[in-house]
Formats: sequence, C-alpha cells, structure tokens
Amino acid sequence: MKPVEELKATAAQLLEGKQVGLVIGFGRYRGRARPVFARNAADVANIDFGVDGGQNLASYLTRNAIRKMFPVAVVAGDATRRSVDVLIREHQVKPENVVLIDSNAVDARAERDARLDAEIERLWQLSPDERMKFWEGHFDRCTRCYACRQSCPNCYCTTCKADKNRPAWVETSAHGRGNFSWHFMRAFHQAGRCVECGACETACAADIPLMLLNRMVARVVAESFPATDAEKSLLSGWSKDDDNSFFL
Amino acid sequence: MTTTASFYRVPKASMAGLFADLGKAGVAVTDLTADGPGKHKPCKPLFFPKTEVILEYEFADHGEPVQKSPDFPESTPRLIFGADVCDAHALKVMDRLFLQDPVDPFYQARRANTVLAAILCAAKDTGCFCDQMIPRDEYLDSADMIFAELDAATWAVRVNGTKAIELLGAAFSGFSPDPSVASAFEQGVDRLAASHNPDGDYQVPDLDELKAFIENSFDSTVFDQSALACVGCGTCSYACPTCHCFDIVDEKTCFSGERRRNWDCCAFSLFTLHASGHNPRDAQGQRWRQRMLHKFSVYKDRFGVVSCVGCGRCIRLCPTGMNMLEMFEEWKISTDRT
Amino acid sequence: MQAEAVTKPKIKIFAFVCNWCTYAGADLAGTSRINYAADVRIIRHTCTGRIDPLFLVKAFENGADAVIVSGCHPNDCHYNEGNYLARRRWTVVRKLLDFMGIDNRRVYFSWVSAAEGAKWADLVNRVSKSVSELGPARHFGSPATQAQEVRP
Repeated sequence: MKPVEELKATAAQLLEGKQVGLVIGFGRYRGRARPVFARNAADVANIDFGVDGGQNLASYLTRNAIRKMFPVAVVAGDATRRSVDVLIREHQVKPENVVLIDSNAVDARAERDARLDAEIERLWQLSPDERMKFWEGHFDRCTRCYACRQSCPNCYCTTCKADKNRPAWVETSAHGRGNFSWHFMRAFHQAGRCVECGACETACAADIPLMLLNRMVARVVAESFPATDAEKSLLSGWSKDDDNSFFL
Repeated sequence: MTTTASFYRVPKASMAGLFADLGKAGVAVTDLTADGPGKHKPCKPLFFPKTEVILEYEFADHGEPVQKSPDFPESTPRLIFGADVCDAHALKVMDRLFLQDPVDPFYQARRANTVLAAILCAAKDTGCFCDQMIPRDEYLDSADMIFAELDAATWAVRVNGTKAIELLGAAFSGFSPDPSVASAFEQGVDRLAASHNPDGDYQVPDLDELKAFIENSFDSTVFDQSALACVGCGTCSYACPTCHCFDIVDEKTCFSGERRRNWDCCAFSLFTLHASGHNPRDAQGQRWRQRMLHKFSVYKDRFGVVSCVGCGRCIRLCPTGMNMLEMFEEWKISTDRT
Repeated sequence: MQAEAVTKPKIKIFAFVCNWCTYAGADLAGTSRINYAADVRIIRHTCTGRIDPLFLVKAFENGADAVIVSGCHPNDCHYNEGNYLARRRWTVVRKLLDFMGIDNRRVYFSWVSAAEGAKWADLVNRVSKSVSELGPARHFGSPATQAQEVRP
C-alpha cells in the first residue's frame, strides 16, 4: 500500500510529462465505483486509489479509442497486472505502452475463491443431468448481451467466433442450445489465460455464476499442466508428459 | 389521451386465487412480481422476446422441408401482472413503430391478446427519472389496469377501458367498485414524482434542447470522450424497454430449421459492418452518438416522442457505470423545461 | 474376430477422426470385412489438432448420443504436433463438458493407427454397447430443453 498522495503525484506527473496520454483508474460517481479516465493532471482528482468497481481495467488496453492514446497508465490490482502480462504474452500490447500504478483497493478474492470451490465441489457431486439442469436454469436468463465478453481483457478478437456466420460456430439466438455453446466456448477459450478477476460475473446483468465455469477450468489447468511459461500460452504448447490416461 | 377509467379495490390475498381461476379458464398468467415485492421483471421480453421463431420448417422423413407457421393470431389470451408503469408506457412508445404500416404481426398479436396490469411504484430507484419523461396525464393510462397499494392488504385498481374486464370475466367479481380510490392514484403519481433517487436526484434537460445539442454535436469529440468507458456490450439496449433493434438469423439442426428474430444492439462493434467490410460506425464514440441520436432525435422526428421513459435500467445495469444523465449534466444543456 | 451382428442403429455416435491414422484404420476394418456396430458416423479431418471442441458440442446439438475423437498415437502425428496440441485441449474440454452436464460416459478419446482396424471395430462396439445402456442423450438441443418460447 503506497500513500495516496504519492500515487496521485505519480499519475499527475505521467500526464504532465506526456509520458502517458491517459491514466485509467477507478472513481466514484454517486456512490458507485467504476472506471474513470484522467486525460490531464486535474482529472487525477477523480481517481480513487482505494476502490475497485469490479471491472478489469486491462480490458481497455485492447480498445481502439484507448490505443490511440498509448502509452497509457493503469491503476492496477493483482488481477489486472496478471491480465496485462497475458496481453503482453499474446502480443496484444507492447510492454512500453503500459505503465502500471499501484492500487490500494482491497483484494477480496480469497473468500470468493473458497465459496466458488465449495459450490464447484457440490456440483461435481451431482449427476451430469442434474448439472445440466443447473446450467439450463441459469442460461435461461442469458440474453447474449456479451457483457461477459466485453468486460474481459482476454476477449479481444475483432470478430468473435460467436459473431461469425460462415460458418455459424455458435448460434447467436439466446435459447438453450445457443447459450450453452456460447458459454462453453468462452470458458474453453479462457483455459490457461483467465486471471479470475471476476469482471465477467460482475458485468452480467442476469446474475449467471460465470466464475463457477472459469474457476473450474482454471483449477483443471492448474492441476493438469505445468505452470505456463512467460512466452507461450497454455494451449499453444504441449508436453510429452501431458495426461494420456483418458485415451483408449 | 385518456380512456374511460373505472376504480376498484381488491384484497392482495385474493390475487393468487384470481390467477388460478384465470388459468383454469385458459388464460396464461404471468406474474412479474413472483421474485418478490419491488422486484418487477421487465415486460418487454413478453412482447418482443430476446429470441423468437418467425418461420419454421421440418424435414418430413428426411425429405422435403415442410413449413410450419408460428401459431398466431389464434393464440392464448394472456394476463401480465406486475409490470412497472414505465415499462407499460414504453410499450406505447414502441407501438408507434411496431404497429405502423408495415405492422409487425408478432408484436401486434401479443399486444392484442394481452391484458397488461402495471403496478405504480411507491418511489424512485437509482437512476429513475420516469417523472421527467412520462407526461403526467399519461402515467395512469399506460396499461389496461394500474395497481397501487392502498394499504398493506389492499390494492387500489384503476381499470382503463373494458379489455381487462372482458378478459377477467367472472374473476372480475372479486374487484369491488370504489370511485374514491381515484385520488389515491393521483396522490401516488405525485408521491413518485416527488420521491428522491437513492443516488441523488437527477435533473433531466429540456428534451428539445437535448435533441438540438446532440444533433449539433454530430462532428464534435464529445461522444468519443463520453464513451471511453463503454465496452460495447448489449446490456443497456437489452434492458431498455424501448430499444427494439433486431437481427434475423437462420438456424437449423439435421431435423428442422428456424428463422429467428433476435435482439441486437447498436453498441456492438459489428452492428453496422457492411458485407463489403466497411463499417461506418467502427468507433465506440460513433456508436454512442448513434444511441443518443436515435433515442432523443430520430425517434422523436419519426414518431413524435423520444424513445426513453426514464426507467433507469441502463444506468443501474451498465457494467462500466456509463450514465447518460451524468453526461447531460456535463454537457450543460438547459434544464429549463418550459 | 466377429463383432456383433449388424443391427439397426439405436443410438448415434459421431466420430471425429484424423485422415492419416484413424480414418485409414476404419477403412482397414472395412476392407478386412470386420463386422461392427453400425451406430457410428465418421467425420474425417486432416488431424485431431484441427478438431475444434465446438464440433463436439454441435454433435450433441444435432442428436449425437456419444462422440468419439480419435487420431494418430503420440509421436506419430502426420503433422508432427497436432495430436499433442489436441491432447492438451481435450484434458480441459472433457472436464468442461462434464461440468456443464454432458456425461463423460458419452465422450470417448482414443489413438487408433492406420494398422489398427480391429481396434477401431472394438472401440465402436464398446461405445455402442455402453451408450445404448445409457440411452439417448438429453441435451440442450433437445426440444424439451429449448428455452420457453413466447408464442403470441
């Protein structure tokens, strides 16, 4: 935890010295914490270094309007920092274009992870049919607004696979079939990449427990594979020692 | 415009039995308050669903496709109970589009077959500004029935026209005529208008000034700057009771095929992508500008009203805290509403 | 060597196989006149590395009761690495499918080489028998699971 005055001064100096075109942080408006964008030293007053609105600010690093202002600084907690690492590893952002400023926001993910793990364990005790009913119940509310996708730093594809129609990989209709394949696909595409920030679940207006899927996949990855090296994404690589036991 | 209104009172406890009786009589009842008091689900999806079949076919014994039509207009009469008044009013705003020539037969059939019962809110929620968007004399006219809490055990009911009475039939005998509750409605609207937003009151600008500002700012950078937080999801449009953009897709399995109408959103990056590859709105600021223009300028020009009823959902549900009322304040448009 | 007599297929198995090994192996089963269960529909790919997990989901949407994914043995991939990349992928996919409600007993992975015609036949017979006992699959694509339609 750095003193707030020091953080403010860092942000202001970066802007005044034109080392960055923008500082992205969190601020409060009428009681709600949310992303704020400081374009000059005076705007830094709007940044609250001690709050986190639940969004992952690294998701702005792949948006064209923000990229035009590169380099930028981001007030980054742990999850956001790891997201920036993923983006650099996947060649979406150059390291010299991002400056990270400390965040003093409290990280409550340990408690959340314990709750998720307990629920994942409970679901594994059910039969597959019962698990399907569980997800059907949730996906029934999904409207395919793609807030989960848009709030995720890893979902930076200019044309998402769900938006392609020749062929149509994923049905775009918000019915059971389409919603199942959408959520399956997104969870799979996060394997080895998800930093478990929870921004997707926070963004979902339909209260779908997306972190159950993402954490389940993250746990499978952690238990099945060696730690990903800094150069290569998990599914871009392979090992002779990868699990072969389920092959007949 | 007002229709003939009649006033009643009905015990809250008798509603469950009423719904059951209607069910037995072949009326489909949807209770939007089923999740709990104060938690009213939106009613737009019941008239303009997030996905709906507009054409379907099946392969008969793996041979020729045989077209089946959706089963309208001979369809089940419905009662929808517990809509918000803002949502009910929003349907009237959407009627101007969907019921003009060429008429949307799906929406029209649902409007025709449905009796809508709205509940007058006691107070504003975060971001609500319905009192500044819905004309005072149209509040109580927005649905076939308006319910307002008379006391903890009793609903006051205002019935507009005869559609509800005809649908309810014998079940209507549970409603006791009581013209004195008319004043409860007027007071209810006044109380709602005077209530405070939990997040601090908003002052919506004069709508003509707002329209002019948005139109005159077409080439300015104000929208790029305001829309930096927008990540281009569809939450605001999907939650909005007057948003109505849609996409048509064809989907099939090995056995059958459907043409579907699905919700779409102008904030999506590919919304205006042309087959040529050109995208006239490929910046989020341009897409945000379009949203403001459509709601506060274009819809007004075409249909006589802005397509916003002040429900506040876009503000409450936006994942990144975009707030158009905040923007209107920043743009310093006159709030003098003459 | 005789497998079960050919019977009318009761269940549908979709098999996603690689051209160079398993497809050739299945071909060998045919040229060797090995009888095996007729429940399988084979979809040929260049390599298991090309098989997108969404194919499996699409298979279940389109009425599959079981899915087989099969290719060259590790170290034998025609394109050197494809099957290794696929293997890593399937570790995640089978867990994710199971977690979302697609029974793991309906999803099979195998390595079947071009010389293993008998193995292919045995595999299909085994899958056919096991999945017949499970019965037809209930999936998100089934009419019973379609989201509530709002018909006017």
